[in-house]
Amino acid sequence: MKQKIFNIRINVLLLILVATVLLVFLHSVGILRPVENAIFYVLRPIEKITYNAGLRFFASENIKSAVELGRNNQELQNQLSNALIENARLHSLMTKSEVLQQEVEYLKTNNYEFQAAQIIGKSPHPGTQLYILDRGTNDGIAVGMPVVYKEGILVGKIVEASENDSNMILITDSNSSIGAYVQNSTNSPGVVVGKLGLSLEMQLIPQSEEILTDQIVVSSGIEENIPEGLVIGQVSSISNQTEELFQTASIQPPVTLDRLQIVSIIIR
Amino acid sequence: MSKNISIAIVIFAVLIIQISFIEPFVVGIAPISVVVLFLTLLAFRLELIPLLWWSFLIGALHEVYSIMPFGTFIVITIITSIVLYYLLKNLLTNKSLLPFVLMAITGSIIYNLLFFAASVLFYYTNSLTITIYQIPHLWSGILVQAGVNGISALILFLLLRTLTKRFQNQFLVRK
Repeated sequence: MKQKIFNIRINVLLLILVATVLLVFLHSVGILRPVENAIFYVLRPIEKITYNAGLRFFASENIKSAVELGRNNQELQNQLSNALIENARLHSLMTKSEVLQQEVEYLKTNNYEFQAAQIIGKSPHPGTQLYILDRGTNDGIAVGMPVVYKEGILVGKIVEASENDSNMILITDSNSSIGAYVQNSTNSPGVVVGKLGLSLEMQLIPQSEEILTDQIVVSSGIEENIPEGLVIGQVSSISNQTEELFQTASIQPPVTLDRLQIVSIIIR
Repeated sequence: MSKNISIAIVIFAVLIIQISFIEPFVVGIAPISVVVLFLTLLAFRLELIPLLWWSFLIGALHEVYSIMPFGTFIVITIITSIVLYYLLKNLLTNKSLLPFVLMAITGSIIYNLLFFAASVLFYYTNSLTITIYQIPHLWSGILVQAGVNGISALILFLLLRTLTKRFQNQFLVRK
């Protein structure tokens, strides 16, 4: 007579444990990658539809017509350049700074190469603002590349890229920090950090700098892949307590960052 | 066989709804977790062994979209399922409305707490390049999700009771 060594439930638990360990191993050596890509590839069209439905349901005011979106995509590169030039022109009107005139020249002469992408979901981590894009390394996407929206507004950067998809972290995420400066007469430098996915704060602004509300904050270009002059937002309030070494400023992004649909990734 | 295919299709649908419909439009914890709701339904309907296998599949599919170390979601999902199953078998004991709602609420709390614990663990072991334990409005978010999941469970229960004949015999009926 056979003797049962284990209860059948224990056996199944052990079997699942083994399967989990096996999956972890296969994933770590990369054997699972084609399967993961295939799942992602198959589900992508449905996810696009679902995401768009969610956007319509939760943020219908942000939806544009398909025709308009298509036109926007095609002209995105021109729009970005024009918007940046316009930003810089407006700024130069305010400050009459020769440095900013040089910036205009710089922006005019720079042609960024883009890859348009659609957001199709969000990674299942409540603490992060990690969005899944439908473009990956096959489309030239790499970690660290900046993600811009519509008129050259910096909305995030790529933190993970697979063959067919990539993860973008929003600039409002706590893990995001971007070198930036305020477009004023002295180009006050600082670092824009995300605050729990809810807001933006510019930190490490020297006390000697004079910044005002409504001034525009742009990327400084310190990071390897993020070019200078991408719009981050406007100063909405300033905290400059004298006992502190640095000032901090709250930054208001020009768009609602968790209601995006089509974005562009600056490849070069 | 067709039952298994149906469950698999529903699992994919639930995953897509959670990742592409609900999560992108919230900061912090989503007000509803259809994944937990579905796990509750599975724990309510299935025996332990098939429940574990389906939980394994749900967790494995989550891993495709996760930046956490591979296997985390599998473990979280399976533990949640086991807790729900034993809660039903040992404490709630009958398959009526109240146990179903309570399971949905408990499942939601357990799932989020396990996720939070894993996030903190990975933060302190430097397993992630991205910090994901700073969840805005964590405790209130968990409570809201538990409440909304409870209400959703109530609606789901009534809906299934109306639509599915097979479901009706599992609920206590006043005679």
